[in-house]
Amino acid sequence: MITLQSSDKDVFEIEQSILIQSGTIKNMVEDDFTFIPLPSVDTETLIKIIEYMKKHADKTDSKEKNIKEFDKDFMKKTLNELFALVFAANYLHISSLLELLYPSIADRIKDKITEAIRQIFSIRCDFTPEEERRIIMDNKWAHEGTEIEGTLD
Amino acid sequence: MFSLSDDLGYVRFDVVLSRLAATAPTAPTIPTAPNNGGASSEEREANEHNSLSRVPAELLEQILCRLNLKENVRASAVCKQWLAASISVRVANKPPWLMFFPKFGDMVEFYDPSVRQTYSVELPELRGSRLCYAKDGWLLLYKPRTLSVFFFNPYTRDVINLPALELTYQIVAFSEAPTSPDCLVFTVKHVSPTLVAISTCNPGATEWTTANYQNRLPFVSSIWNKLVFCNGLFYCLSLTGWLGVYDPEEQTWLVRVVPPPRCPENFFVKNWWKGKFMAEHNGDIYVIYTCSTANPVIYKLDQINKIWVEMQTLGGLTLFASFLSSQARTDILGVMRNSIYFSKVRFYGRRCISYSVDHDRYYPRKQCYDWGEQDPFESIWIDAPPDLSAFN
Repeated sequence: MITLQSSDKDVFEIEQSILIQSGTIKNMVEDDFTFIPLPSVDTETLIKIIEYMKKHADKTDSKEKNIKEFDKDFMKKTLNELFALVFAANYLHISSLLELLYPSIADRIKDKITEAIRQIFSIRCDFTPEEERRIIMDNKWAHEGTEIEGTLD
Repeated sequence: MFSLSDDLGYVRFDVVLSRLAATAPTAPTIPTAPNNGGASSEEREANEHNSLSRVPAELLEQILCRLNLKENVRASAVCKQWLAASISVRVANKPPWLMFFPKFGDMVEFYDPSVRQTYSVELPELRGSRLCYAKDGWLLLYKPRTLSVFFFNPYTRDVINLPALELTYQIVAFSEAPTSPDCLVFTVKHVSPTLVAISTCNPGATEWTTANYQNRLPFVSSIWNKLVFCNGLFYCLSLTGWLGVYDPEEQTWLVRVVPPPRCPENFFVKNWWKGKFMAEHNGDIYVIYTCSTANPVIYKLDQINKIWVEMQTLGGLTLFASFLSSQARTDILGVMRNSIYFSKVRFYGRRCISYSVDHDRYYPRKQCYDWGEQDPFESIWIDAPPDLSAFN
């Protein structure tokens, strides 16, 4: 059994066989660590990560369809949650989860115009007005429509 | 110097800006949540909120690479960091270049329409030859004095010779790059209205194969015909708009029972048959009819219903029209979509003359363009080079 500690100092005891899906944890286990602090993963996110790894640990053929359903539902989260997961999965090197998260996040951007993307991600535009105008004019065709479309999340 | 209505050379400006962004201080690789010892839920939420705007470059690139070109372009306008990431994963096609055949001397000019830049190089290999066709970055040329037919890559200057053949003023085309084992060169000329002589050759053969074929519907062949290779077949558009089709595998030739594109009445002016262009894209065949007194009309071949359909839009496609062969592109930047780029560049502003299907007008606006009166052998659209090493 391996003990994980979140940034909120909550601890979780999980079987090694489940946790080795994380490349980072696998390396530490091979170096004989049994207590692994994760200062960049909060409790809420860690719980979800553990849930994902538990589901994916048992990959027998009969469970394939089951896992696919789970993955689909697992992605039904807010963008904030998805991002917390992508940071954590990146740090923990869980490539199967990353491959799931990248397209899911991309899907949230796909149909949004530039200003809507800024609002979702709370990004301040750091172009000068002249730079921004030039970037948009270079490819006017992609920026059709000026209203913010769709919902923000 | 630029104006609002121009097509701007996107590449340079965006590249400059993204280089600036790349040298800006980078975000920390992991945003460490400074809430050890249990922060309040509001603080935690605020941190999460902030962390969204500091996505590490590698993660951002992994997300953005899942977007198509249009979505990528929208994402690139968000902020400098996103511009750099978008450009690094962006996949866009390059438009073809316009090659100007030298009238005197060996200096060949190449024009890149996406940045309106011209490059020159001396190509003495072209002396005494005449352009026949271009495809996949290769030219097919003919030397009337020696009856020599050869492939030439103007960027690598590789030459691939074919057996000699007397080509009177007739159209010739090839299926793909001569470096491919399946490359086939094709030419057709009529012997009588219901009989044609077809000659084919593939690189490496010692002679051309010539055979006569009958066609039920009349077919007249001339230098004004158009050729494309599409779906394994050679399509030949006659003066009067009939389509002859040669199947190299089955070795059959027939004239399709597809009525010629419906030509507007006012198109029947002097030399009306000359101003035509034909291109293929992803199995679709496009024909452009032009006339000095009207705007161009574009037709697409509907193979199922066996008719030519007049196109009101090109669905994002850009056609590059030159007399001997034409090209088509999607997902290009720096060049207008739903447009036809013709094989002429205006000296002022270095602008390639184009016609916008969306806006029903030429750029630059002019009273009329008589494409039928152009010298057919003076210029041709050819694939862009992989880099600029040929021009140093």
